[in-house]
Amino acid sequence: MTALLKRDLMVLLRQPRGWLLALTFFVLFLSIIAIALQGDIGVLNRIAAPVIWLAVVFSLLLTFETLFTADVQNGIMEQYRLAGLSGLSIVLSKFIMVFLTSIVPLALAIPLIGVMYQLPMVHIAAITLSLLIGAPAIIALGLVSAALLSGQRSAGFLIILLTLPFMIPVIIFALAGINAYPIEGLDNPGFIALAGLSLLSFAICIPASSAALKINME
Amino acid sequence: MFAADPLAPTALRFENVTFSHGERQLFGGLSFALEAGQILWIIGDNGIGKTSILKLALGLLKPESGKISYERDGVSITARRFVGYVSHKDAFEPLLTVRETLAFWRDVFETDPETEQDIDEILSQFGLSGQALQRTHSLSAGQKRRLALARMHIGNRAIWIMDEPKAAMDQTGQALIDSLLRAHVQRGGSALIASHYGPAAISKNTRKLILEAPQ
Repeated sequence: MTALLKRDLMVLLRQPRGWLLALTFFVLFLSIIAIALQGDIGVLNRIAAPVIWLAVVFSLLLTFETLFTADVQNGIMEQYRLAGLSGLSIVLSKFIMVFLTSIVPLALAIPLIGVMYQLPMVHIAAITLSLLIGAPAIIALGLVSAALLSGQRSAGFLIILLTLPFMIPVIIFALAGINAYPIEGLDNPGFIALAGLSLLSFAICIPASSAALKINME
Repeated sequence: MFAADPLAPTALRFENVTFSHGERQLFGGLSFALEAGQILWIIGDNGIGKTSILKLALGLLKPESGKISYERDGVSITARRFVGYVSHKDAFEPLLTVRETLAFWRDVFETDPETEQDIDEILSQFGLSGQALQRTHSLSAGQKRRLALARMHIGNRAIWIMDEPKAAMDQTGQALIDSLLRAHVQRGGSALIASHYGPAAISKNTRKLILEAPQ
């Protein structure tokens, strides 16, 4: 798995379009909303959390399409299988790669967006924490769709259609956790439910993605 | 020698294998055996099912009926880690250099550090020293074939399964394949090769299976 992760990171450094696309979309989307609302700080403060979460979900959905398709279509996945690599290690390496190259940059960008929206520090911390807690759920759900459609060309739209409905509970629990954080702290029901959802999604979606990859290779 | 490995297969056997693509049956009742130390060339026109036979042998396709097995001393065994494949696809990450590609696959194959060959030696053996720092997307078709062979060589597999290995190869490249096959067979390895054309010479280790379209 280390070799796979190392290869994926090298490739992403040489072709940063994938992670830069997500980050650029995230920053542009949120900047345009601020401009559209004419910098009304009261409104921006109220809508910041849901809008940032929507931006996170949409920008991550942009990155899932290319996760497996190239490797399936150019025969690398066949060679992995023959080399005895398990589907689980392939999927786990992609999971770690998405976390490092998409979630971490977005988490680092949230404080900057917070400054633009003039959010209180506690609010910025809550949104960043919610992203880190909910990240395993978002990535795992995206991986299943990407693996299921890895044999298809231009499956980006289908991946969005398949994944988006499952993201709704993640967003609901994340927003509940963010609202409760200033009073109840990190162990509020919203964040606990979000963490549970992340664990559950990880436990179900990683083996499911591995199975989907195997089916697509047959 | 591959036979010295107690887990390595000594034969690949197809027994009464039937396979279809959609409605069209490619072959029915196909039987053959590939023993250790043998090369079997599957020869036939385009679309006749050569690649399908290779993929069936690799377990990437399932037969409709019949049995495909790897055996050691007459007993069926799991042999995936002893099988190497050169497909008609590149199967390389285009943004990695030739050297990085070989280093990556050596890590994937988890070769024994005591027996592993230096990457520079392999590059030289396969005529790729000049392309070591070149990204794989910029290689010619023949150079990509050489790289695919080098990858299989790193994996140290007992059974080589090759789809048109000489396609796009110059004369030096074709001679390289012949010498690799000779050395492989001498070590007790075997090879299943799909090609439009047969081998240059048939020896006691080399056989042909000619596929013809049903009348």
